[in-house]
Amino acid sequence: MGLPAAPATPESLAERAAHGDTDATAKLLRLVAPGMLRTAHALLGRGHPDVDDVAQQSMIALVQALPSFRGECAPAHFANSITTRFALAARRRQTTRATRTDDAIEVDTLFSDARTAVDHVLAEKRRSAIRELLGTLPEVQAETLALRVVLGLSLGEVAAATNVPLNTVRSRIRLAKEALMKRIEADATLLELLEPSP
Amino acid sequence: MTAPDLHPEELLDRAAAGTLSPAERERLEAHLAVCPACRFEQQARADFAALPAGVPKIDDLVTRALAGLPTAPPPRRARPPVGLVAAAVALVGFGSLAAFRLAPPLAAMLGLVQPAPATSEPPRQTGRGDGPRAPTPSRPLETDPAGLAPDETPGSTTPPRGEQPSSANAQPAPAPAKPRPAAPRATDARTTPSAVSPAEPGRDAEAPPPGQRAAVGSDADVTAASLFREATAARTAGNREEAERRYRELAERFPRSTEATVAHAVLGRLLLDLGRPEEGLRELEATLDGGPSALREDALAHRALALDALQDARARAAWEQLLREFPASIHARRARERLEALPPP
Repeated sequence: MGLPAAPATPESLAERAAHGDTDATAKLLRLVAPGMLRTAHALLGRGHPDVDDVAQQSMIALVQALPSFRGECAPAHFANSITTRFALAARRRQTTRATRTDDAIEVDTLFSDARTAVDHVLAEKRRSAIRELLGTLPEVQAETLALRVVLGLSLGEVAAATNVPLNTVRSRIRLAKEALMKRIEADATLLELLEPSP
Repeated sequence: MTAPDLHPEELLDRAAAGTLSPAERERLEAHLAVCPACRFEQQARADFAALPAGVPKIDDLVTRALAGLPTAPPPRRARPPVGLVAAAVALVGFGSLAAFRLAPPLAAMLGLVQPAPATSEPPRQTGRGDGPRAPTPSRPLETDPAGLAPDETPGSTTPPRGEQPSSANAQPAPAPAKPRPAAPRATDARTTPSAVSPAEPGRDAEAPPPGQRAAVGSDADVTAASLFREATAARTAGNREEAERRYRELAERFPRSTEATVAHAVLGRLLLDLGRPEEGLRELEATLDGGPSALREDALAHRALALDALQDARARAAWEQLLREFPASIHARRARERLEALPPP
């Protein structure tokens, strides 16, 4: 009796999917889809009407981009970075339309731990502030900041996901933080959202 | 340059990973005390990390995404991914007619739609869906293994859909509940594009032995399932002419099979892609003529596209029918855009 087959890794699924293996494509999508949907939710807000569209179109784009994927980063990060781009694009369109449908406080649904309602509100306001900032930043800065703050990627992971040198990532983050700083300085209420410094 | 300009990003990373040394923690805290931007970033990272994963819709979204893939995978390219991804964002951007037109029901090929028995079933009833339907979730292709309603699969012992366990919150496990072929699949043959082995949509009894392709023209070997596999293999390999021939042969020789219904749907979109909307329209209407509900939404949308391409006055009614039957359709946005653009009746 032979050894049981090793479970498929995201990397092996990505490689097979890149070669047109439809079975691997389906498995890979199911593997990365929760993170992609979560990314869309995080960037757009759960009530945003484009969340599902962004997630779905990101999945399509992911499959189309796989032939060029060289394993520079984890497939999940690659997938999430694609979702980030779609979500930011949707966010920019929304900004253009000047409609606000996505930043409602979702105290009742987003948390199940013991944090207080006040904490929930402050957390969602901070998320909203970041989302709004992302909608105003230049594209590459917005993408970099989103990968870092929204997805929590490290500097190196951001560099791999965006295929740019580490110093470029640093530069983009620095510029994005300058914009964040100006926003904080211009809006004192944002400072109130911050917990006291340690 | 002031201290707040030198944001200690590595320290923020290590803090997030919980790997700060005491000295590093002291340095980071000193910076955070004077840098609201880094404090904001650190807290926002924690806020976003606390968001739950969006699990409930995963199966549905994956199915839709699979249904929206182009007919053949792009060849490997040497360029880095970022530019391509950016281009994909621009190209696929939702509402993109190009991407919309490319969409084949790949989910059906992947077994996300489970066809009914093929050759032994009695003739289908036609005219389904002539009346208004209750709103349904936006699901172009069903992930439910019982994706075909019982009344669409005469002779089926499948219980009514309402008695099926809900798959909406289930773990992603789209494997059909019906028996798969007893013989093992040639897994090694799935590593090359030319040997992509789509899910077998036909009955097990019809399938040729593993590794043996039915010789078209030899009646003893040719089945609806074997023709469907060959057509799908040709399509996924990018050989659209061969795919068209196989789908047409399938529809002609096994007109009452489920494979033929799917073939009409795939062929309809294939012909639309090939710039032959009139022929595509015929195939899509054949799909709608008694086709399973899992294909209906998608076929309605592409029928409307075909009529649009033909500048046919029935396009408006076609988009309206799509919205009436599937108000939450993934194609609803496009339908509304087209209805706004089309001249009033």
